[in-house]
Amino acid sequence: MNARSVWNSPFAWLVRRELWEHRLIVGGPGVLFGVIVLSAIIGLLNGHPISMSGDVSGLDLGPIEAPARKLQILMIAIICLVGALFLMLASGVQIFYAADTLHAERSQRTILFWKSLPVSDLSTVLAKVVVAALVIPLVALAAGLATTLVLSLLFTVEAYSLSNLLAAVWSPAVWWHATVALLYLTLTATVWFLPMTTWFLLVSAWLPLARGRLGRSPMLVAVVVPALVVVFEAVAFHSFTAGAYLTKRFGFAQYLSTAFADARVTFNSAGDIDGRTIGSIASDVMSPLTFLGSPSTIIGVLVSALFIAGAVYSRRRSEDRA
Amino acid sequence: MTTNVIEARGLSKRYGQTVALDGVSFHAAPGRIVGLIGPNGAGKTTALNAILGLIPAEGELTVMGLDPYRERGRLMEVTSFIADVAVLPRWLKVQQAIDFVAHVHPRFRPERCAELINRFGLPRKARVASLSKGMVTQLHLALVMAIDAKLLVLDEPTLGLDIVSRKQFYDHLLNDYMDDERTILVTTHQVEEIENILTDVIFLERGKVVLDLAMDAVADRFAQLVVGPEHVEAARRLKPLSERNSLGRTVFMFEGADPKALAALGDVRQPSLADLFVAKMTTRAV
Repeated sequence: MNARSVWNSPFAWLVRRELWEHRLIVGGPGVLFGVIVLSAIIGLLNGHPISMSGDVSGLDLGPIEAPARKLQILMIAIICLVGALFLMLASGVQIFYAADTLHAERSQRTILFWKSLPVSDLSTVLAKVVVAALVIPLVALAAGLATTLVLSLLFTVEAYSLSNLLAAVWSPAVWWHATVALLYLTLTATVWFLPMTTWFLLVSAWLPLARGRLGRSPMLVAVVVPALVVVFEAVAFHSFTAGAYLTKRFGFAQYLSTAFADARVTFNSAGDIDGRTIGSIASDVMSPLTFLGSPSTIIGVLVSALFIAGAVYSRRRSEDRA
Repeated sequence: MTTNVIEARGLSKRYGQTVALDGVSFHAAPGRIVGLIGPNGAGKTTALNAILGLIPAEGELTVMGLDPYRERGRLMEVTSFIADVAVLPRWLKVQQAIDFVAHVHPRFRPERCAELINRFGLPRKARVASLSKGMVTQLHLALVMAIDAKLLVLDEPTLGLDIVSRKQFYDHLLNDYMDDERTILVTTHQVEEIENILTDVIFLERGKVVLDLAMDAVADRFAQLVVGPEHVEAARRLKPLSERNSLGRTVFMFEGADPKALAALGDVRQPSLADLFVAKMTTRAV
């Protein structure tokens, strides 16, 4: 199958349909992009330059004469931070989308139109999983990179004479490694938090319609159910195993320690990193093998598969629950 | 030999204690327009849902030679359905609807759909939300009529439409869609409206088939007799299905009665489907 036929496959059109319906997926990051760029331009016009000096992630840049490599690392950090900001927005969009999509098509009865077409419940649900888990964060990531790119252009206009700095800002290696790092972050976070995304999809598909306020809010139910489990355990057994497990598994710390090795970037007295390329630093930080081999990752993927199967089953029986 | 498009034998469906379909048998042959008629809760939608593979049901059911529930994907390639016009997503643009169906339905002809959209004068950039109900129906019809399907299932397709749109809906179906190989199965409350286009009629009540007849046979089998007060008793002795008073005269419905015997008592008319429906339903309710 070539790229063109993939692009025009029924599955690709299922994904497109989601983007038509849920305009927040593109609109959310688009608005954030607009706000940041607009505020930077207005700031620039008001005489507040975009600053590249300062303290970012413990890297004290100091004066602009700082060594080239240090500047490059700082630039990578900036690209990644802006990207991470957009990914945080994406995680909110993800949850809203996943909780809503399979519930809304039932409450609005549009499911009967979709089901009049030769598209299986499995394809439909998988398209929604792909949108929730991949498309939403990747769109946000693209918007994040575009934001840094535009900010860099503005900075270039402002600081055209500072060749040392601009060399770092426009270093292809910097952009390449920052993009790879962000992609790695996006993909690993997608896999790590997949049980959460698919849980919201499952509740969205399963929740019976019109049972009071809870019946109208899959989001609320998806949060309340695990909370009730924790409360039940606390009251009945005076223990906090489920709660402790959930907060640990879905807290950010365990994800970071699984997906990223604890490799600190240390500078020598000259403010440089001896004999190391940016690429080698980046590959030291990412730990894909540890991540993929982690029991937490594997169990998470298996649980997600169960949740997806449950969502497919629920959608299949949507008309059979009268 | 023609094989039936729909073949149901002993079709049953329960929801908890409620029996929605109680051993129903019927069929639909190619080239026929079959009306499935019954009061609310008679099991019409349940029957349609089973035919469309939306729900599993007990008994034997084949649609286009397929098991609807198990082979739903294949069934939907050769079957179209309009559940209700309100099911088109409000955010969908006319052009998006065409593009989407064109890419997920192997038997959809976009050029045919475009031709219909132009004929109906639908704005391609408009969202469903901004169209009138009549226009939404036309859009749905254009999508369905461009699909080369052999079976079209319509569940209350004209609900909530004004009379002009309703008439247009059925006119388009008859003139631009129906042919000898296609079959339409339709449910509606508005019996009068589809009376002239049906070839067969099935009455459902409380999950059972109470009448299954070709429209040609209605006149042979049923007769309506209007008599003055002096002949009421004589008419009752002929065992009518039902009787009701109308403007000082009494209207009887007969099934399988001798036309000559009836003519001797008063005016004999061919009953409308609505009359027949009311007669059948009130008979059973007694």
